[in-house]
Amino acid sequence: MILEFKNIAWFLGLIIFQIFVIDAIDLGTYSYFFSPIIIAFYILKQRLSTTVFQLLIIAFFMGMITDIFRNTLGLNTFVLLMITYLKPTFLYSITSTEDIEKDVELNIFNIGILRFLLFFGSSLFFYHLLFFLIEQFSFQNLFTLLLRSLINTISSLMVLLFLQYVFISRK
Amino acid sequence: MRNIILLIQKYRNFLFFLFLESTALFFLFSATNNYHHYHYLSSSNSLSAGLLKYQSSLFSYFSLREVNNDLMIENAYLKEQILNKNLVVGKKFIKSNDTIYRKNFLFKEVNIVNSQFKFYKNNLIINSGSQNGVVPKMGLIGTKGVIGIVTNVTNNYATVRPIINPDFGLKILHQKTNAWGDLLWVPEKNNFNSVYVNNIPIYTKVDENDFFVTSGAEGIYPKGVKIGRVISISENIEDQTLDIELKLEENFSALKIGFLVKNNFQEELNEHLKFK
Repeated sequence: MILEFKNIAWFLGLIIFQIFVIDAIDLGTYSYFFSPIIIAFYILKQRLSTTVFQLLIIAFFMGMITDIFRNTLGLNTFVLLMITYLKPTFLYSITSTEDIEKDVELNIFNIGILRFLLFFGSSLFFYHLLFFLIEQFSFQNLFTLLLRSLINTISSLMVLLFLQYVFISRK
Repeated sequence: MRNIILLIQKYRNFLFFLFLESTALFFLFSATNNYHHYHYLSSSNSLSAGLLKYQSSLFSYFSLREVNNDLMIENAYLKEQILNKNLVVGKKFIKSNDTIYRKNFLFKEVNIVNSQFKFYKNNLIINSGSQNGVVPKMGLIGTKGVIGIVTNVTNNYATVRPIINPDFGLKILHQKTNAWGDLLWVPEKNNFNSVYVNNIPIYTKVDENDFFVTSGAEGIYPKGVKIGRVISISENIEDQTLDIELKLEENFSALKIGFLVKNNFQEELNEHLKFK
């Protein structure tokens, strides 16, 4: 029961943190390079025992709610669904199937810092790259786009590290 | 049958994923997202416009004679206007070299690369884009009358919404009496060379073959460009208005050339229109 409540709290908390804290940070001209999106963390941290079907439904509604607040209808939803479907690909490209137990959350304390950085780093980089590519809808300034994705990946990883150290109790 | 069900069962996650993704894409390209909606539209346009340009460059030779004739008539008309302007001296002089005097409207000739006339929502493509200084909401007039208004601009092409599109709306004038009316193209009733005029008061004296012209109110077209001539009039007793059908001056099935209208004072005019 407590687990379900925790899940709901994370779901709402991440969306609220994304919309009212991260999107509200204004760095002037550098804002262009600082627009990390962290909602994918909720999907990526779910247990391996969660079915893809459930994850897809969650991802759809999570993306939709974020999109409505960010005025980018369909954009986050599209990318988040893509990430959800490719989550096993990312995970099993850095670890073997037996390494991680089925019923633990994939946070930094359970999978270790190196695997956390690799798994979340690669999938969040993919998220940002795809997001900016569709947002811009052309291949112009590809280098700037890659740089933006990289900076946003690093900053979102830092935000996620901070959130996990604050809100997840270690045993 | 059993195999199909097994197949669906096997790939149900992927199929569900595809379904949700297509929903997201539908939202992404829906009209709420202006940028993606129009970018999708214009990128597909520039693809087809390139092909259609070849077609029009081939077929434009066949009608050179008529186009030349039209141009000659147009030239003569313009020359007449210019000459008259130089000769007529009213109460106040107009010196065309004066620095205070600026021309209100500039015209730029364009070729019409592709024209539709038998669909529900017709659109035209012209061979000038943002590189030639075309911006949305510019008017396009042909050699005989009004054609449409620019809606979407890419680098080298622009999309024009012609009169024969239900989204096109314009306030127009009856030339003899200066009565105001609303132009309306009804796709179910009109074909590509007729159009309706609404909201003309019932007491207005309108005869067949009278001309309707642009009012110049929104600054998109100059005042007095012909739109069409009256072919039928019927009285609407309920609304106390006349229902008038016009035959369009421009033949939309054979459009080849047009003139983009640039209003030098559009921004200034918009300031005034805002306070209405």
